[in-house]
Amino acid sequence: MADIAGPNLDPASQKELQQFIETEQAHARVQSQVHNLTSLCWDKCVGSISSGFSGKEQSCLANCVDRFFDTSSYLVRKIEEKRAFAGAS
Amino acid sequence: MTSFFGASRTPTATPSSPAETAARVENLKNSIRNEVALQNAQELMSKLTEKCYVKCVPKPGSDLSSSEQKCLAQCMDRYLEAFDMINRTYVARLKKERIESQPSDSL
Repeated sequence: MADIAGPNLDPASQKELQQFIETEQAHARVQSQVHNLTSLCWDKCVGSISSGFSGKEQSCLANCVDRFFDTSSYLVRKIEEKRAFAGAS
Repeated sequence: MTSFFGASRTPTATPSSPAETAARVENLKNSIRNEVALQNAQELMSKLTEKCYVKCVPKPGSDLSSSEQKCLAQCMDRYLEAFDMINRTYVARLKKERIESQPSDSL
């Protein structure tokens, strides 16, 4: 267990740790999204369980993430179009 | 194990040497890394169990049949494979998005 007792760390070390924590949090956010997407893509792409993925399952899984990103961008654009239209009228 | 009821050294004790401070910082970093890794493993296990239960045990009986067990073992491999693929494509797409959002260098 880390020794969290003892005298406070000097400002430079505190800053170092703070930056480290921010980086780790960013990694954790990415990992969290990967878990969500794996769950989504599994439901979309995987049929019955066997000793390997079929070609169709493989390509579905390979495309799944990119199409999700594209979906997100597309919907953001559509929403902004709606808002621009509503603002102009 | 750290005592929760107060440090064994007083807060106004003599400051640590640079080596001691560096060691403490490294220990704290390792604790954080371990915590993040543990979270990740737990999340993976939780999702894998749910997905494979759905795929392999459609009608829970009085125990797990050998075919259900075989399915579960294969399912685990498949899920880990899927996770790995998604992980790689996600990170690659993030890099691509980051590069494309940056202005290109002037000539």
